[in-house]
Amino acid sequence: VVVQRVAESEARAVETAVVQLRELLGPDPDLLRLLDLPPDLSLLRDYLTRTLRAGLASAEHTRDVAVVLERVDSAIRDRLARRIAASTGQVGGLSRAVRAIGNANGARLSEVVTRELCGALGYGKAMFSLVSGSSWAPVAVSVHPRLAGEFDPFIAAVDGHRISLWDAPREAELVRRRRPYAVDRSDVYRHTYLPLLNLTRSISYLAVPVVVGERAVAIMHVDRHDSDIADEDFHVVGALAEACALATESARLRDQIARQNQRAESELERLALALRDLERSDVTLDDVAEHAVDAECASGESPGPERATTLSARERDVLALIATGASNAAISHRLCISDGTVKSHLQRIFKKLGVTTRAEAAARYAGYRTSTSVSA
Amino acid sequence: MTGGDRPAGDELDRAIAETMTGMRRASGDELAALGVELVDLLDRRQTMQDQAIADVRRTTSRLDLAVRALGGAASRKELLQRACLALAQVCSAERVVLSGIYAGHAVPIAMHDAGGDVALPSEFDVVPESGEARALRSGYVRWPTEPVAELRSMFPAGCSIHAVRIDASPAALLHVDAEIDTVRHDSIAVCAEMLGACFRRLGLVARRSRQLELLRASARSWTGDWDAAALVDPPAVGARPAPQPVESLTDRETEVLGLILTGASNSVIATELVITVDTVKSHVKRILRKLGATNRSELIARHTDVTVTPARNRRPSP
Repeated sequence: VVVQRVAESEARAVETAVVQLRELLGPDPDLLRLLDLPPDLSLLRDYLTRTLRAGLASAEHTRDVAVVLERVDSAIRDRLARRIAASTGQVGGLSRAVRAIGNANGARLSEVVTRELCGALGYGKAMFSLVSGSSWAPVAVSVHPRLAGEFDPFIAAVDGHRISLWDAPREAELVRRRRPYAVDRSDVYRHTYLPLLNLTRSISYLAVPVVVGERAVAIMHVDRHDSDIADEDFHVVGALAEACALATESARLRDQIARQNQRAESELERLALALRDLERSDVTLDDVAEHAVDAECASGESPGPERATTLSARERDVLALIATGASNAAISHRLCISDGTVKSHLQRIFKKLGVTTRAEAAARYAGYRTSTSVSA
Repeated sequence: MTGGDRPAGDELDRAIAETMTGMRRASGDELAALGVELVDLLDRRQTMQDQAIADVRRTTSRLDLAVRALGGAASRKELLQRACLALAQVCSAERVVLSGIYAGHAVPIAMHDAGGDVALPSEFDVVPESGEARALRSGYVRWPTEPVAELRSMFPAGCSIHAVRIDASPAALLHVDAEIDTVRHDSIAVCAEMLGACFRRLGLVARRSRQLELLRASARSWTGDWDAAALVDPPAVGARPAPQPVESLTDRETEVLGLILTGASNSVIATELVITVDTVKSHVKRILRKLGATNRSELIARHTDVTVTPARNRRPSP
């Protein structure tokens, strides 16, 4: 059903041509075989060029066959010309889209991305989903203006609800391998997530991961609505995904800086209050007791934290990243240091903590964090 | 890129139209011969269009590679090197010069030269109304533009100039010497945008570590004490995904998870549970998949924050 809708105009052109040719050439078996296959302009063109080259039984028919061929050829040329124009236009649209993404603040990124995919880049439908743990959640969607109103149920279905990766094998594979995939007409129903696919009525679509720190943090799905996904689309959407990754990283860094500052400021305020209180209030018997308790605490043995504090500041940064499961490459990217430096930090950290594997180091660090946050 | 094909394409269009007209009058063998000629002409025209498509595909593929190279650069040095090379490849340029902008003054900081041994040009002022000034104002000036005097010897045939912005403010200038059509021009524009975004990321990374350094230093200065760990949280990498509910692990898997969380290696777990290392491996693989983690460190990070599984207590003590 879907395939017929898409190629409707092409199918009509093929049908008309085949009927006309049957009248001209009679029931040629090759021609009849074309009727059994899905209507395809290129196959028809091949048949026509073969026939003309071989020469027709009646030379006078050459003229009519040539006219049909010319018509079929120009339909194919139009289709390809549209594709070239679309792809060339996309390169222009890409710089606008990348700029828009760079200017979007973190929260609105998903909306900006889908809007640009359907605007500057001319896709039919675009959906942006966040990946977290073993599920993904579509959070933003756009449709091309010319399709406005046709996909309201689809738009309504994109409401941020979580979908388990178990239910969407292709998305699971994309998240695991951090590679894009495309499905075309022949396998659009195989292993795809049907609850959404049925609403989009896509005949072919492309899904590209947004990879930050070696993890797929989001997925972009796009289709052209009425034509197939081409190689160029992988590149165009892939480049946009890279821009998204950069924007996400920048937004996170800004957020970290802001939160740290907030924490530091409130800490300073508390400290100032406590110090002022210390200075101004009268000394009581309580102070003597409290101080005694503090001194006891300070001399108390707690090997975990002590070990960790012998690490240098940079080693502590590296350890914190190891503990999140980051790979060496991710750490080098994150801290802007070379791979070799990461390795040498790692060796020193292992030695100081007396561990031999990253998992052990992570466990030690996790234990240290819990113990300090409990005692704080 | 499609521009160069135009005259040949026009000629073919004309020849095809003439053949069609000729067929109207011809008959017999002559007509059949014209039919074959028409097929040849149409095939030639199709080949040309196929080439145009291959061209577009190559351009987008190069652009994608360039954008990825930029995004993957870990340091300033790496980024600068990659930027010039990536731009040269995107638009088949012989020479690319990247200059940092410091209050009306430009300092060349990186370049690509197909020939090899050319030294970085000297610093230059952005003269009002020069190509450079116009590029900074409007984003770019197209090829062929004459560059400032300091760069003229490098770009005798002119260049195109692009501005690189960080957020809204201009940060750098790109001089590129390729003869540029619209697609290549647009590709450079994409790279310039990406470069700005990369600069911003690196800048924020540097700021973040300066912030931590400042906080550490100030904590040290107050107490004379080195241990500032209490004040400063470690930087978080990537997304720290919200901990997922433990998703239907079997009893045995829960047991293995408990041991993984202590940092135990596969062989330690195998000894502890009296199973083979291969069995441990398959348990670990399943656990990682079920919990959506890529390695055990990540598992530890996620689970020690909140959930401490009962398996810890259930683990058999040999």
